[in-house]
Amino acid sequence: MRISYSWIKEFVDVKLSPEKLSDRLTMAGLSVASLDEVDGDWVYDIEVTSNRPDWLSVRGIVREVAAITGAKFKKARPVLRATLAPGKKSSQPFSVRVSDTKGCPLYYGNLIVGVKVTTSPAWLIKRLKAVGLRSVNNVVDITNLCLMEYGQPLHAFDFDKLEGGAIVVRRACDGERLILIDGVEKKLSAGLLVIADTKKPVAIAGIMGGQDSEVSSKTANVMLESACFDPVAIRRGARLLGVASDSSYRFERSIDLSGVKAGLLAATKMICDMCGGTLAAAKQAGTPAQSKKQKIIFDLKEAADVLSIRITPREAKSTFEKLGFGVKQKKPDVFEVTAPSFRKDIKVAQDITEEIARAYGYDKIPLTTPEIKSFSMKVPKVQTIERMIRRLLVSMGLKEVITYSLTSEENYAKSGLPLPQAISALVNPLSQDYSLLRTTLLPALLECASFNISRNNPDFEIFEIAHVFGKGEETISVGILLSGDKRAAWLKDSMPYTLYDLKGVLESLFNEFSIKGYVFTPLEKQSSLTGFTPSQGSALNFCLLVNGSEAGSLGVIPEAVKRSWGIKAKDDIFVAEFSLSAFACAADLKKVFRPLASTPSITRDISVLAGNATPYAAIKELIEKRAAGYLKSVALAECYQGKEVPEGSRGLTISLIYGSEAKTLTDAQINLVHSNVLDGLVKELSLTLR
Amino acid sequence: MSFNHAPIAQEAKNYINFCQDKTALDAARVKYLGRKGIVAELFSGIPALPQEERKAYGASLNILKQAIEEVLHQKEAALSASVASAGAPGPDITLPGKKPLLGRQHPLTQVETEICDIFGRFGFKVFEGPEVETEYNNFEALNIPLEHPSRDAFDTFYIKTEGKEESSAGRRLLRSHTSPAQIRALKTCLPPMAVVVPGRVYRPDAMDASHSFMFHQVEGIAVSEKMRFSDLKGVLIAFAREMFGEKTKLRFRPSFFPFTEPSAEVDITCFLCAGQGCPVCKKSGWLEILGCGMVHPRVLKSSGCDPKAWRGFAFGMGVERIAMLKFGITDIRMFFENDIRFLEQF
Repeated sequence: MRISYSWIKEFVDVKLSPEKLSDRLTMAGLSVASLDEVDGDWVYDIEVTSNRPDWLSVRGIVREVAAITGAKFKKARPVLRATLAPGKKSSQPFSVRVSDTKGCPLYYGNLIVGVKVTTSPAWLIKRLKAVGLRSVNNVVDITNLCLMEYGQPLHAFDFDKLEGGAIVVRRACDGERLILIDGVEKKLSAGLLVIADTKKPVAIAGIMGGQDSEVSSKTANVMLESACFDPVAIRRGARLLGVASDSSYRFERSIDLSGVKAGLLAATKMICDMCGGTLAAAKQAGTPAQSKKQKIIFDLKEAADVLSIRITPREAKSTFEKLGFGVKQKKPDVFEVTAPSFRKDIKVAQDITEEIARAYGYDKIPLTTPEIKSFSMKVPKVQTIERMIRRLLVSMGLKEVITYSLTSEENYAKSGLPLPQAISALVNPLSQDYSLLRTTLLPALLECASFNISRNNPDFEIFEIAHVFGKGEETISVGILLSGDKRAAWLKDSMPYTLYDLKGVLESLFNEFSIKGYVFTPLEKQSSLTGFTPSQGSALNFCLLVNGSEAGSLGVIPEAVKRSWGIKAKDDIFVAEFSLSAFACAADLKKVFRPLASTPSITRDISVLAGNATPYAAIKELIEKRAAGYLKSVALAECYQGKEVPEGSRGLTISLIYGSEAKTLTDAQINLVHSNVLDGLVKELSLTLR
Repeated sequence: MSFNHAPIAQEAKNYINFCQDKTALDAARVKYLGRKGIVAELFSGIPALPQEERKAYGASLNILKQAIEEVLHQKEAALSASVASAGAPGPDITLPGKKPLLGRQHPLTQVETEICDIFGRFGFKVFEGPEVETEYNNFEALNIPLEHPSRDAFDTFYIKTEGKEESSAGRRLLRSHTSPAQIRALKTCLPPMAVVVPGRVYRPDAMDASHSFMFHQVEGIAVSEKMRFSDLKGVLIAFAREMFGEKTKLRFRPSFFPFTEPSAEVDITCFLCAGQGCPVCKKSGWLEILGCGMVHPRVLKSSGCDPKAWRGFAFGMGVERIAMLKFGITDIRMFFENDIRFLEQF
């Protein structure tokens, strides 16, 4: 809402400078977004909250200015009214009929004849320009001026364009069309509230007039409309048509029924005085009956307590009166308050408390420290673990990313993922790129990878923890992506990431939460998480089981997927994704101290030649079985593939650390166990010792 | 026989101090203290002495030996010090250090955590709600009626449902603010209670430098028998001082939110220009930072709390806005591009 300083001064005797007034308005809830000097005047742009449609007019704002500054109203400006010219009764047929009284409870139509439509006088053009309105012609400008002053939307029709001299307020029929004053033709759908003549719609009620019946320089007779339309009907209509106007904005927020006639009379009078017209007929449909005013019992003690202020009943009463409220003192501290018709926002006692606070000044309300008592609230385990995992991943050098939860079919296709059946779509997406609720973090991580690699930063390690959405269920997922080299300050120390780095990150998490029952295994059947089958050349070619059920997947991004994301890097990219809740179920957050070993340990290395078909897990399992009770740990020292070993096999060096918590083992005991281990490797797994 | 070894001591001292490097010093050590060195030779003379002189003579030799050792030790230290300063072998401390790779939390997570932690110290607990919400929780329960202009501030993404149109209460949407979690929190932990709710929210805003269809909020609600508006002011000023600095001032302006009454918009003194006026605060000296108010009785009612027995306050703030101000970021889209060079700065 734009309003000029001079317009305000026309009504009230404000002594404050434009800047000072701006501060006062802001602190009273009329937030001034900008104050600009325009042609020697000052123009305020005020953000009016949706609960205060009464501030969408000069008179409404002036009322507030008077209340907050104590400025006196200037000698009451007469409410303009025009009277029917005696003896000039029109012989032309003119009728007003409302067929939908819910959509339009009140309609006034004034027929003004003999109007001379020209350009507006300079003062009028300037005043409208200051508040951001373009001058059209004297008649239209007068309706706009009255709209701004009274907050009552008005519309002037060229009466001679109304078929049968009739105004009918009705719902549109399917298939009807109308070219609006902005020149755009709209197809009207059934149910839209329109103003029509005997044949066709001539305006969309409360939203915009039609081009054909607009007032032009050829217009001689004007039908001036001032009405009240149902806020919901106008709001729906404006949204449906995608058209908004100063009128619809005010009708949506609901107008003051008692202002409908004031606006009409003022505009009629001005048109008669300034455009040479004569009021020939005045028609009315509906009554300006107000809904019964609601009485609110207001306990001043309660309000003073909420606000921690001291305020006397007299002060409260004076505030109410300044705001135009009706007030009856029931008890010393209890009032019965009735809000004026333009204050539809006042419904409960708390609304009145706010009025007291506004008048007192929000800035004068003291600061106190609340007593926040301890209360019980069970923090879900998932929530705790989410924070812990985030910190752990960061401590491993990973950077957290935040990507959009909305995705597209194309992103799934580019990532080599089938589109899950359970995916949810938006009714009203901004674009197809962001039309689906994601079920996996993978495409977004790939997009991040593609973005960074294309900017010449091929080396990074990132993760995201975010919600993913199935049909009717929302879970938290953790995604990790490693790309390029593990960076080092001395460049020769840099090492490319491998799948084992990614697996190591996951293993560290498992260790940290004492999760034992996890297995990494090649994906053999369709993944229940991603819906993926191994044959489709997925990125996620390995599966992660926790306590026997699928909890996540990991793997290397195939070349085809890299290509479709425009990733040109030669290095492999590794990704993993797992369900936080599966993780949380298995996690043990209890930490219990284990005494530090005081017995010595003895290390023995084993070097074996193992065929690729023999997994490391089998070797480790055998060692653990055969050395049970003597073994502290098994560590891989090296896995060598290359010239020194035959093709299809690997040279493994494994360190066995022997020891017992209970007693010191002798060399002889360890030798016995160790040869048993070696024996097993040769006989059971057919490995060659090197 | 004379026990005066001073000449030998002096000669040794000169000899040792004349050494220019470690090799010469080693030779000097052998010369004086070696198995066949001068001191050893003197010791070997002990048996030839009369019984009564042996002890005193031995003691004086020990003193001589110690004195020479001391000189050797000093010279050695001096030599190695000069070697180090000459920089011959040993580490070149000017070579770059091998920095461990540091991970980072996303700047939005950092700011969100900072906010929640501050309120945590005041006694608030962190409560989380789902991002897919019912239309009822997102709107009606918060006193935002259907077809009401107050919904304009909350344009919302709706989720397609299969088959027949569900009732309004059952329609699902992406929450357009974290406030629906107020309803969930009040139903989960009965008052007195105080929680903060961080999380992602969604609104169909076309993307530009200051708008994103996905962003983050932190919501707070505290309900007790006698919660006051002044308590809200007290908590928020304490928060702002921790978050933005001791000198931060707050300005509470009357405003409107359907779910609070009275409602206020809160500005802080611009910390970039200390309230003097700059382009960021549009020359006003103030930065709009959050909205707040006393919980509307209808919200308490729809959460199953008796508004006659309980009073509460609530507030909500945008994490992106605070992070942008704090770090001097001018384009909201940078948060979601995840350029590694951007992430490594925070």
